[in-house]
Amino acid sequence: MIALVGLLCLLFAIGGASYPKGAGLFPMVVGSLGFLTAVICLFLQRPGVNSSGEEPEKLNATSLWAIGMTFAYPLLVFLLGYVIGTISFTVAVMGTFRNKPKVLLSFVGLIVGLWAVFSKVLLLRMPVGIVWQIFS
Amino acid sequence: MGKWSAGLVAVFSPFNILILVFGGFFGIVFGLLPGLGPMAALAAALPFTLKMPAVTGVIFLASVFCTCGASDAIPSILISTPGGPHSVALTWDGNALTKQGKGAYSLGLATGSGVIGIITGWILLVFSSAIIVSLSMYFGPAEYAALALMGLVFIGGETTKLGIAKSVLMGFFGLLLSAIGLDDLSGVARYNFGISYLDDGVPLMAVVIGIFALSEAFLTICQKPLIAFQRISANAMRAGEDLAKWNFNRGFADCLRYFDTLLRSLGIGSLYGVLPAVGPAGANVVAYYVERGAKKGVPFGTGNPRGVIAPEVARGSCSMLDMLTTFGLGIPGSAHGAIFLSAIILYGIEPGTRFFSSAGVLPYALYLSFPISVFVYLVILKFASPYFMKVIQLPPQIVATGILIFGLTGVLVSRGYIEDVAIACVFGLMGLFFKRYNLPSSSLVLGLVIGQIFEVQFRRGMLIGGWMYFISRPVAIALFLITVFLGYWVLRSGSGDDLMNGKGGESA
Repeated sequence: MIALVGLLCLLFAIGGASYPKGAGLFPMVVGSLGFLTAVICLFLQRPGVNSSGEEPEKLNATSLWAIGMTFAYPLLVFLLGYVIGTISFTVAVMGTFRNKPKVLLSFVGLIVGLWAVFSKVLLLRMPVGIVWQIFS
Repeated sequence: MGKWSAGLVAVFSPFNILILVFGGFFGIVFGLLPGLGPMAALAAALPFTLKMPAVTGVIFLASVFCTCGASDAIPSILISTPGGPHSVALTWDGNALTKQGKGAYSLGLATGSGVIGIITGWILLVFSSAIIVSLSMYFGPAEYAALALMGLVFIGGETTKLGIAKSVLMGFFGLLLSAIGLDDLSGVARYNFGISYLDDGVPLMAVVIGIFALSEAFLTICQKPLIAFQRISANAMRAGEDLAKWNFNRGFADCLRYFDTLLRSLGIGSLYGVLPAVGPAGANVVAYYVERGAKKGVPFGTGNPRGVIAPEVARGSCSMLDMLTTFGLGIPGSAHGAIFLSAIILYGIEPGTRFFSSAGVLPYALYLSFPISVFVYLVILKFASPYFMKVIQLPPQIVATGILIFGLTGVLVSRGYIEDVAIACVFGLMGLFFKRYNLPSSSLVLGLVIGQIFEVQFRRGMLIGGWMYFISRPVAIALFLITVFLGYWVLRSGSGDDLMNGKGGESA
């Protein structure tokens, strides 16, 4: 992960060279320093020195599903609107959990409550969904 | 005094008191949920304040911040699961006391010392704010750049060489992310890949919610059912019941007996609070180790009351004094400060020189809400504590789903762009990996906020007179020398490599 962040810093530094001097100097300098820091981190964490040797737990199927659904959430909201999109997202995420019917109902209540607070009380614009717009 | 009394009147208006109490419940629920701390609470609370009057909004945030920070002690002590890095050290001796059947006493100690820390920090904040604001009038680009540099060096408040290096790396990454979008001075679009949406830069709200709320939810779902959630020990349950009976009074009063510990930890917390970008995450751990070093021969990690008092006092005072540079200079004192800063900027209020003169009653109402929130916390603790254990026992998947709903909704309403949700998801995933590989995400957010200040001020300075401009400013030179000296001192005394890798309180 450190190496990846270091690589991203290096890419920022290289990208900075393509901008005019004033705009490019900051990302070039900071990107280079970031890359150097990543190298120092890797040196300090070399095996047997500061590394604990423990690998983080692997992501299980439930978590991968939940993360995937979260990434699909913007699309759900764009198509179905906030209320239906968020309820669909919650149903999908909770599909793998036990004791869901009661909890799911509570979450539906929470979503409708949040929609009411934001759109009716605080008068913020909530997406209504392209599907709803087409049919109405 | 007129403005202070106007601030008091604003806080005590019926609606704002209601908001303060609501913020108190909101903060406590987030504080009680293991793994969730003030960052997640503030990130989730921020969207609610968007359409509130500015004064009400900041009162709500102050209440959430104070109550969440204070109630984080409860899961740390009872089930040894800290709400965040700012309450890690509390678990070492606090939970040891719970295992001895003294959970309520330990909670009393933590609450008492937390209150002392917050109130003392608040008094120092009030008295030093005027000084900082008057000093800021003499601050030009060179001084702001030097101060931002100081923030970058101490970013995250780490105490180990590896921790500092990781923190600085994440800070640099945050700085680079701040370069995305239109350059303020030349108008050149940088790193936007031809997408005009990115011209405004990376939306801070989406980053904050992604990094602190969504990643926490992902992490919670990833975990196998936690032992802590499944089997809360009988001692912890009893402590929860004792809490309801207000049996922790003795602990609350006992913290005054350890006056030397209070003083030492207040000093450390205040120093960490005054330094820009150094938050309570470092203060609580350093205060613990300083206490352990000062009391050689006294066992720590086995339920020593000093091991509960020191981190909590330092956390409290640091969290208040973090607001000093945040509002006085516009340089966030910590990741929490960055959220407060983004909130007041959203309200169109400028931090720094004109914060107290041009924002009307808001600064006074904000400052007064901090100590009042502490009393709201104590009142809620008294009357609602029987329900607290139920919140702690909520299954992690349900907690995670709730956070996802709150977080995603918050991002969606913040600017009304669905693209912001996608950005939050990306940062949520990044935050998950950062946490899994022990990279401090808060440094990234601080870098993102400081970057915008640092680059503009540095380049303005260069435009005014090149490098000579920086060399000719004595305050900037002094700040730079302080940064070099403190940086050297932290690295030299960073004996923490052995401390932070293992559990702190194990050895005597």
